Amino acid sequence: MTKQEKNHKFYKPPSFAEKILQIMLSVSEIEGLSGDFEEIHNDYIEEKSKARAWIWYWAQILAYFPRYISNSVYWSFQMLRNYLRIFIRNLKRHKGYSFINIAGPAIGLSCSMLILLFVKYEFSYDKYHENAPHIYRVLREHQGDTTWSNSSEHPLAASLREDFPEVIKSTRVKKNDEVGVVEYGAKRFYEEGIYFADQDFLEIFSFPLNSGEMSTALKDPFSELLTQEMAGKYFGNEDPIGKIIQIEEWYSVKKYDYKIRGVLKNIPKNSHFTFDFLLSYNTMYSLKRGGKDSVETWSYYEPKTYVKLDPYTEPKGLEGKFLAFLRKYKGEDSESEKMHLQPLTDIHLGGNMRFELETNSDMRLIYMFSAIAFFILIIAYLNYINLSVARSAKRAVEVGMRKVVGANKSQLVRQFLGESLIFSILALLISLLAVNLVLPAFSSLIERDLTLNLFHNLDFLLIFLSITVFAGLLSGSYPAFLVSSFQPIQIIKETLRIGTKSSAVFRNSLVVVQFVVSIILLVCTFVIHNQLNYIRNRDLGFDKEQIVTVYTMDMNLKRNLEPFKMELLKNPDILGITASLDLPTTIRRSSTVEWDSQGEQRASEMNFTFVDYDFFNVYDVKIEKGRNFSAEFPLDKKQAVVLNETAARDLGWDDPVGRRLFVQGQEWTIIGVTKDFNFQSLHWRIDPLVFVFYENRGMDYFSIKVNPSNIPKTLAFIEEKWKTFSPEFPFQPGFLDERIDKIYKAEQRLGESFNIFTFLALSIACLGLFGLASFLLEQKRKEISIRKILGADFQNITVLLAKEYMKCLALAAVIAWPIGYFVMSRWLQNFVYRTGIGIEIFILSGLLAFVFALCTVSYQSIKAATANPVDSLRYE
Amino acid sequence: MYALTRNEEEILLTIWNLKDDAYLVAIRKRINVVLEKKMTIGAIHIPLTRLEKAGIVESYLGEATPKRGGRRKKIYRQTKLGIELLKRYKKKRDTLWSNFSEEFLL
Repeated sequence: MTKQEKNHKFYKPPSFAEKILQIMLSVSEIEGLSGDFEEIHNDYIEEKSKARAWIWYWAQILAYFPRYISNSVYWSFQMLRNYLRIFIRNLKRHKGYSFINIAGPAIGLSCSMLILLFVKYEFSYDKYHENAPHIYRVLREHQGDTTWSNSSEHPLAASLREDFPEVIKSTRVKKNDEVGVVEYGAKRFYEEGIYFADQDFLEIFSFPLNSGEMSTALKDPFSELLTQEMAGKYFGNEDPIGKIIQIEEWYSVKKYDYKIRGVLKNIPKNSHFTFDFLLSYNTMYSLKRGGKDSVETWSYYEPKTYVKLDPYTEPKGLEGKFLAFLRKYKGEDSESEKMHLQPLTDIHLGGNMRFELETNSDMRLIYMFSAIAFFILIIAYLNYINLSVARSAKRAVEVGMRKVVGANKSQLVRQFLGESLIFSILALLISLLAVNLVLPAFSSLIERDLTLNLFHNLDFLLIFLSITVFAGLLSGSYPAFLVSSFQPIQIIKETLRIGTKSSAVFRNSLVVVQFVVSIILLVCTFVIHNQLNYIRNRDLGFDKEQIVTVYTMDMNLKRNLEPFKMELLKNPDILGITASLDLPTTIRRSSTVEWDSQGEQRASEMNFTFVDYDFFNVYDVKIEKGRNFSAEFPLDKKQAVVLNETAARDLGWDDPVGRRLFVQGQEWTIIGVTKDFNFQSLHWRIDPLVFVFYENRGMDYFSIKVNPSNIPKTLAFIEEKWKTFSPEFPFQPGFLDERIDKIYKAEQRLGESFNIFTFLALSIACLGLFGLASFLLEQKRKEISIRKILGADFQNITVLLAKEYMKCLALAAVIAWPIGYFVMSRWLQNFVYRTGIGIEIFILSGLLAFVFALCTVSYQSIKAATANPVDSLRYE
Repeated sequence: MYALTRNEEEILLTIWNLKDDAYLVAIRKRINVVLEKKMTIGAIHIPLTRLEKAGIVESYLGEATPKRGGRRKKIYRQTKLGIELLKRYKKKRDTLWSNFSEEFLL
């Protein structure tokens, strides 16, 4: 160091710029060059000024910047190209392995995409209403009942609006009983989607009008709105506004003229109720015989009541005032009645109460499907981890070479993570394609209108992109860190052993996890199917086989049943015929029944239906006490009822026959008690039911018991007779057992979806096992060859190979069974009538997994056992 | 035989002249002063790297000074090959220059 330099004060260059310089310079240059830069910087300061030095230093760096960037991009591109080349070579060389690695996650991702679409759709129900957060459905707990009911009294809606300022709007909604015949000109169709609603309806819900005036749309009696779809069906290109359409009414037997006040946009499918025609609610005053007073009464429960609350109202606070409200309108004996507000958006996933407008879904279903999606993804990605670890020995030489020529650990980690990411992204692309292909089939299976448009569902794409990236990185990280930690010297000396004990434990535990999930899914599948079979085959208490059902609206036929019945009975293949208001599966009307018990007045809600003389015979329902309706007792036509056992029990008399009941003010005599039968779905207990004899009116259904041997001919016979007796009305026969099956559609759907998903899960697990077995086999090739030379036969070798997996499987079964039992016993609690979870389910699920696994492994074992030992020993 | 550019030739000669102090900054300064031109660092460093790669010069790390922020100098010197090359170039140049006399210019 010279004297001059010692006396001098030296300046540091700008530190940030210096840092950039350090980054940009290659390792071998840092010392010399950055020193040089600093020296020149100091020279500038000496000769010129600090500012000039600063500018020079920065200029030097900035001038190099574009070059530096293009350089580094170029070289990382070169590296990437190399990685890709190696990746593609490996992909081609190990086709089976690549297939498993892509197909597994692809199947997993497709399943979870489908499920997510479904779940998203389920959550979208009723959310499109502008006021959705402030709309509530009023639930009532009827007297003596312990479950909430969605039906309420007619005057409730108006009274709520009058008494509570918090209730801004309120409406009643009621579905027309059964179907009606809608007529315009020559067009005449049975229509199911006819609803009644109050004027506020359109202001509460967001069902926009295409044309027509909203404020008066539902004001006057006999006003009608219809949907675009229906407008097209009946009017074609005509403008329907102001036109008159006729609807035939169940209540009044008559045809009524309705004036069309507006056309609604089609109702979105993700609504908890959908309708085609909307009639003004006050129309009902004219339809019912008793007029307005018979409708506006607090004595029975019929419509659903919806309210729109003030946005700043706490619904809980409002509910607190309901007790006083009910007492005001229903008197002191309303003590045990309750009222509750159910948010609109909770309805669809809130499960089914009785008398829902349409079948709802259930939160539990969502949980179940989400769990499946999650588990299938896990199985698929566990495959990746397991196979990569098992196969890492194959890559060891490559890793060794890379390390020798200077790759550092982080580069290798990046390479292997990148590979798993590519696998994952390939899987994503394939699954997007696959989902597009199977979506229509899946939609029809679960009966939802699912669509996938990636541009509209950006959130969906984003979710799956992040799942893919996350799962790809996560599943790639263990193999990546394992592989990058290999010591090149060990690899080259061939002392590296992947098949060490600890990694075998790791591998096997992943296999166990996969089989645990598979076996749980199998248990679920079996239980669901058992329950479905149980429901299908359970004795419902009435005969449901070979019963042809025919619906009619023909009043002429209804008034004059006997000749038709007689005519049909002439055919020896027709064993019986009865007309009734409901089929045993469609009974849903209820009314308050009053009676005296030990001098005390009592009342309860009971279902009722109308039947004729032959109902109990055709359906083979036993009369326990008393007698059936009979033509010998003329009074039966006016005041006789038959109860079911439950109703009789509820009334509390030892012998109810001969006692009296009051329904809506009219007096009835009990003449008999029938055995209970399940007239509702098996989700529920049998409810009290009152049979009323009701001649010549309002019988909607014929139930015709036919001989099973000659059904097509019998049907043709019935149709022929139908055409002579009821020429104007269509003949639409159905079978009762099919109608019953429809009730359990949700369960059936669940069952079918579970079948598919379980099969896929098991397939992915076995796919993984197949790959794993084939790689481990390769490691054991020498061992097997030596054993064969020493005299091991085919059986020995198969057992040797399968033993390890069977141990895993056994462990998995032991873990999975209790979980499956727990989950499914919770599910079964949905049903009042349920099958048990027998030991055979567990044995069967274990056995099935065992067979699957054995088949998978045995292919490999056969290959190994039949191979010539010389081939694998020769090169030594 | 490696063909030197004019620039490389100048750098090589400067290294020869500077002896043990032939590092980048010194080379640049010397060239700028003697040849009266302004050369950027890159204009020196890139040919130097090229020469080093070709085995004409070699480098070692020398002393550190406070002016350099305590970093050591990267000092260049000719390899045997480099000296051979210089000798050859001198011969050629001398031959070329030998008949040149200032009188002709006037």
